Amino acid sequence: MKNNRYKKSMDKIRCSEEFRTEMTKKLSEPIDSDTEYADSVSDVEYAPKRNFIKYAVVGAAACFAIGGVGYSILGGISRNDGSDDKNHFAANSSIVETTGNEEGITEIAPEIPLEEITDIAPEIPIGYVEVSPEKIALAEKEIYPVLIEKAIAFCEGNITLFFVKDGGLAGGESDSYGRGVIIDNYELSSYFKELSSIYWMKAENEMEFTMTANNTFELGEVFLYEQCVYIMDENLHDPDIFYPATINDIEAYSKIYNALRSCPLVDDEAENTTEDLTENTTNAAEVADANFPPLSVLEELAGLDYSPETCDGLPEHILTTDDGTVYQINLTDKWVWRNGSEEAKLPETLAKRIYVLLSLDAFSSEDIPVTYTKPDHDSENQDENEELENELANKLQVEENDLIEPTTVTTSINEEIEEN
Amino acid sequence: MGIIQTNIALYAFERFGDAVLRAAYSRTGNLSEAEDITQDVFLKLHAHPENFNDDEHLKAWLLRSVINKCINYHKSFAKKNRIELEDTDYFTRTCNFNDDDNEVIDAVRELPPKYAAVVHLYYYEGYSIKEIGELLGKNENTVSSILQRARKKLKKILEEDML
Repeated sequence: MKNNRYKKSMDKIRCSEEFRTEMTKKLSEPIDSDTEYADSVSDVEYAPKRNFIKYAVVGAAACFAIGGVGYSILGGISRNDGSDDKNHFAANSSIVETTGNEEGITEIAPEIPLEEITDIAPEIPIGYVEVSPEKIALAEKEIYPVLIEKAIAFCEGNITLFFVKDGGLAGGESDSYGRGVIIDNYELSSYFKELSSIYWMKAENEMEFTMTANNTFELGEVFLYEQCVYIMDENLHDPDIFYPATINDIEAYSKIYNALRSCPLVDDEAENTTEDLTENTTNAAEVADANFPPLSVLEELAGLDYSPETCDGLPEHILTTDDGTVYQINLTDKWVWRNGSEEAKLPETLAKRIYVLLSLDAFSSEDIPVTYTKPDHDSENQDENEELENELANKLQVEENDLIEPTTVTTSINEEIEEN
Repeated sequence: MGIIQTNIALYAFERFGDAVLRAAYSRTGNLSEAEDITQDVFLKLHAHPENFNDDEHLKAWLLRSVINKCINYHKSFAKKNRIELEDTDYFTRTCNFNDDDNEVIDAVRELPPKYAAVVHLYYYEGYSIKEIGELLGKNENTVSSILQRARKKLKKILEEDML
């Protein structure tokens, strides 16, 4: 767009005479200090104070980012276009309805009709929260009553579902059907299979984030807000919507985390939020630690049932403990080798925890008595590669010598054409 | 030396009413919403008069206020429950808009609100990136990044419109 075009067009926007007259009249009236100015403004109704939304969003988003990413990367979530599970979802779930007030779950309501659920479900992105009971309580208490727009919070053992509603976020509003639902005891895995693996939640516009190293990321603007990474998705056409990293962004997630983990917050309010919200968790590593303490992971690794090595797999990660024990880990096939002589099958839960900790670079902490290294498979094959390169170079040299001069080919083709 | 006015809000409205309306519009993309927000900003100033060093100070305060109001409005119940009306005809009638203007305005309307605000302050109000950063309370790099992305988006939107 040419700048002058914008200016030229914007110049045409002026207060209408009607509006100008009305405003002049209002502003000429004496100030009535007893009257709150906002009361006289038609159509503008401010959302009630709802800082707790921010707390809840951040808390739940942390769980999304940590637990969800780890879980889903390891195969917990995949797409499935079938609709059978949706029916199952609606039919087998007990649904609790609230009135959207801040008191929490207030009454049990009849099930939402199946048609309504199936109409909406495919459009709903979901998130998975692998959290402690305390955090489940937080999610239920804090997120549930305010019904965060376009967000679904999943908790271990029960599902908190927020239906999508267009428009802005207002405190205490209800969903598209004027209610919120909590669905208990649903089989998470079957539901995950059919819904999008992208988690996102709406955050407060006022949230200020420190942006220092994010200009190079192509996924959109990326922020670290305490224990979460939010990615601004430009495709959403709303930069005020942030959501935790998706499963596809895991590499960016760890990269961003490493780059920004030391960044201070710029917003005082945000800092206060942190204090209120995260008594136990102050950053991503701590959230991860709280859920999957690295030390307990090492203990679990040591306690596996090892047998003499027979497997030919390649290690993807190497952890060397302070006592000299070397664990070579393959998360793809879920194997672990100890000191290069023993092997054990890696339980899936342990593999998930290791993955999340690796993603967060948690083993790099000085407090953890372990050294992480990435196996250098390339150097092992270096000699072999050099031989191959030499061989290839010799071959190319020979082929070059055998090449026919292009002019010869052209001449012979021209001759053939003439003959024909 | 400050601005000496018995009615600072009225003075501000007469002086910067259009500028505030444009800023509100750039953020909301809707003229009637922009009018509501503009009204709100000046009524607030009327109810709680402030001291300003000069016109620039006053203007910066108004622009900051209008952007804040837009944020609140964007999230408010009123916004959610407002029936979206097509503004294009309204523009054409009241602002003498031609097709060219509509194209530009539509492109800006498609921008995310935060981008639109920065574009407006930069291209229309002529603020520097540093000044926008101060006005919006954002890092210069952030503003620069937003502006860069906004340009790309605008280009893309306008190119698509040309097809």
